[in-house]
Amino acid sequence: MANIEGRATAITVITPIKRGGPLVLWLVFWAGRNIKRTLEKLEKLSFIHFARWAVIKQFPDEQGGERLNHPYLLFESNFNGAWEQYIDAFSEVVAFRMKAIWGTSFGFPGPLPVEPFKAYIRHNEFVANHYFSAYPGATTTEIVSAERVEGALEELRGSAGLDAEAFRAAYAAFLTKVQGDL
Amino acid sequence: MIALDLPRIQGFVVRGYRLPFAGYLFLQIQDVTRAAAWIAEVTEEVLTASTWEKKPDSGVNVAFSFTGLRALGLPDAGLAGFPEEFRQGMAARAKLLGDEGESAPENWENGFGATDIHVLVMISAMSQDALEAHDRVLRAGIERIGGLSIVYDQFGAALPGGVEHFGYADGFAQPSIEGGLPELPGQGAVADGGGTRPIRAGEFILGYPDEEGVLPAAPPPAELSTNGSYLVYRKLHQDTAAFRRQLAEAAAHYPGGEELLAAKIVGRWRDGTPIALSPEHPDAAIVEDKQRNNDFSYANDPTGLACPIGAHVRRANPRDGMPFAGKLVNRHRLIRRGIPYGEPLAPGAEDDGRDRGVIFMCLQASIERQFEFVQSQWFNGGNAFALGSDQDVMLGPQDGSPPNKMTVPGRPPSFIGPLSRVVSVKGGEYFFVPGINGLQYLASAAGGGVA
Amino acid sequence: MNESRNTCGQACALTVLAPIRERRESALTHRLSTLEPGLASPLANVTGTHFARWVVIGDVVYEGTSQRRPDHLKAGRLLFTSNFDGPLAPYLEQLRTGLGEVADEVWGHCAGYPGSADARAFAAYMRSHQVESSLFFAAYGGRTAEEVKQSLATRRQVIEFAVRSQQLAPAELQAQFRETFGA
Repeated sequence: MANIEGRATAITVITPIKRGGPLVLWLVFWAGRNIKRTLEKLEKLSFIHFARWAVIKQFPDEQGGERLNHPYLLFESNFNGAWEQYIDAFSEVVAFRMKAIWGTSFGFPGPLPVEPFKAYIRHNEFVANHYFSAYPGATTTEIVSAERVEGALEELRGSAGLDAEAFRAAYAAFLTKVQGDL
Repeated sequence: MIALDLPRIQGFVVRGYRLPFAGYLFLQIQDVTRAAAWIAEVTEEVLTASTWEKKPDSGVNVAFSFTGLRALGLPDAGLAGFPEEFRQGMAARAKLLGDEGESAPENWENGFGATDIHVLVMISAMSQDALEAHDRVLRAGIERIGGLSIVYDQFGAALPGGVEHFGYADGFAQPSIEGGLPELPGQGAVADGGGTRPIRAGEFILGYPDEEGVLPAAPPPAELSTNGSYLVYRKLHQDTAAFRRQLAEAAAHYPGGEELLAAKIVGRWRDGTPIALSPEHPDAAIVEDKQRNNDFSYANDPTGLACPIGAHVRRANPRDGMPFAGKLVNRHRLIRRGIPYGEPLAPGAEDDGRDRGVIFMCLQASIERQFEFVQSQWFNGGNAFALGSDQDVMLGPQDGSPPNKMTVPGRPPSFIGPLSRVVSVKGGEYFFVPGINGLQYLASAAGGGVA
Repeated sequence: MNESRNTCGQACALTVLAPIRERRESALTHRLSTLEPGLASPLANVTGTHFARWVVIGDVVYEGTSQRRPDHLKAGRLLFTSNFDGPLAPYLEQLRTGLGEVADEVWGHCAGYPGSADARAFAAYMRSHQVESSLFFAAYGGRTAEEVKQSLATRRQVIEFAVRSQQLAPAELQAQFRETFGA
């Protein structure tokens, strides 16, 4: 299934934007870029590696760009877990933001209840023809944890030259510190 | 406040019978008209959720797989209304469920995965005699009417002491359903602002509003689906000797000792005391008090020092241990109904090669959002809890490389590992549990009686 | 193009939409379907790539009556997205050299594609078909793909060590730690 690479799942959605939509999106995305709280929730959901939204005002081509009747909203994401569970969590936690973003697209039924939202995403989804992940076995939280473990290990290395008893204590402190990341 | 149509919901959906003997007959439909006649007859005696005056000696419930509903001749439009995972059947979902290696459908027992199982008849009984008697009556009835054959059967019974084969008392936690039994503290959904509240009935029973306030997706017509639910049936073999050995080996270097380690793995002491309520020793007073034995929270234990984040009960229901006030938890609850099977293994004994384990059953309005989600995201993985690739010690396939472990948080922490498989799947299927209205619909619709 | 919009930490987003030449859509789809999957993908040779994909977009989707004017693309588009270690200019060069002839086998079906022989022309084509991100989120935008892989391996090593060294006396613990982690 081309949307899945190991534990990573791809989702690509393209939807037509209503009149006045681009201005609303400009504000929403500005808030997203500049207000920390907005992206914190995405972080806490802890299964998104990378995600992007882009507004396609015209589709690039060799004649200076093809402008359709409407601009289009592209959503591209890489995350862990089946996308039905992903959409559920989005609906449940960031409903307001989902409405703010996709409310500007035609046909959007609202983020809740979740079944019509899922149907809308399915209707507008494009399956990847080829999907690549540099680390397909890894989940987002593992990657974030790995960075912390690596840092703490570096510190512990500094104690490797101490006497055995002191090292044992330093090692125990190390484990205590990173146990939530192992 | 919702009122459940109790007389029209099959009893075990709303309450656990606490009848210690169970029999499961798996049938195949050969002749639709006669099968329909049998359904009509058995519907008369199906145990419903109406309050009992006296607990019956034995009772019967019925459920249908997708292939069974198709064999009954339900119209295509109706069949198409059933959810994808139910239509595929459990064997086809093996990859998602982690049913690989020893648990792969190719290795399932005769009947499951390879042969179509159409109907599940569940007998619940007070005694072995009552079970056998009812079993005989059912078989005679099936033979008399004809049109159905029994392809497989399975029997289960509670073990002495109410424990399951790994030695833990079981069956404490059950979701409190709106309109169902009176809510016991801690059984419900995580409530805004703390505590719990009854879970909307539609999370388990079709035709009632769910946690989103809408009716759950249900196959048409309402006459078929209302008061119905979906049942997951899984025969899980428990390698008791292997579990005991794994525990003993890990306990050798665990400062708290074997019983505490056993409690850390599950999240309850062997007697059922929640470790979140009593982190240092079991407490019979808590266990025996229904108002207390499930009334606990993880809000004050974010790092799992009392109850490890990877403990079995915490994985099964993270309660307020996940962020966003229950939003990531409340729609993934399961009603569990199950019973052990097989003879206990004597303490200290080597594996005797005999089959023992648990008949795991759970009920929900959405197999995919509830059972499959909990299985794949909460038991067979750790990402949702920042536990990396750690799997549940008891249920996890533990087939990965490098081998898995479980962290027991502490200062410093301990680790149980390398873990190896102790439970394997012997067979299973997804079933639809119609309400009485649904059974009557099936009896008349079968073979095109009602289009 | 405001490249800062495409950036989160040191991670960058690249979105390229290239028009597919007439009647070349099925050949393109076929070539994409025969690319090696997993870590044998040609994209594995493009240094700095975390996640990337090719998606053939035959036409845009119509939403029904609320959308009074339906749309149709004159030509299908090949969407290429990448989440990579920035900045963009060296990455475009890595894309060209890393993919090698696969770049031509894929984008060769697209109108105006100059081929991968000329570095400047290749980069210019990608840039002229680029779409800017309005919002780009990276969960660990400070880490390169290599750093991610390295720290994942280190974490696995630490776990393995932690599990097997629980019974060791202090001297042995220290000796094994030094041996395992080269300290």
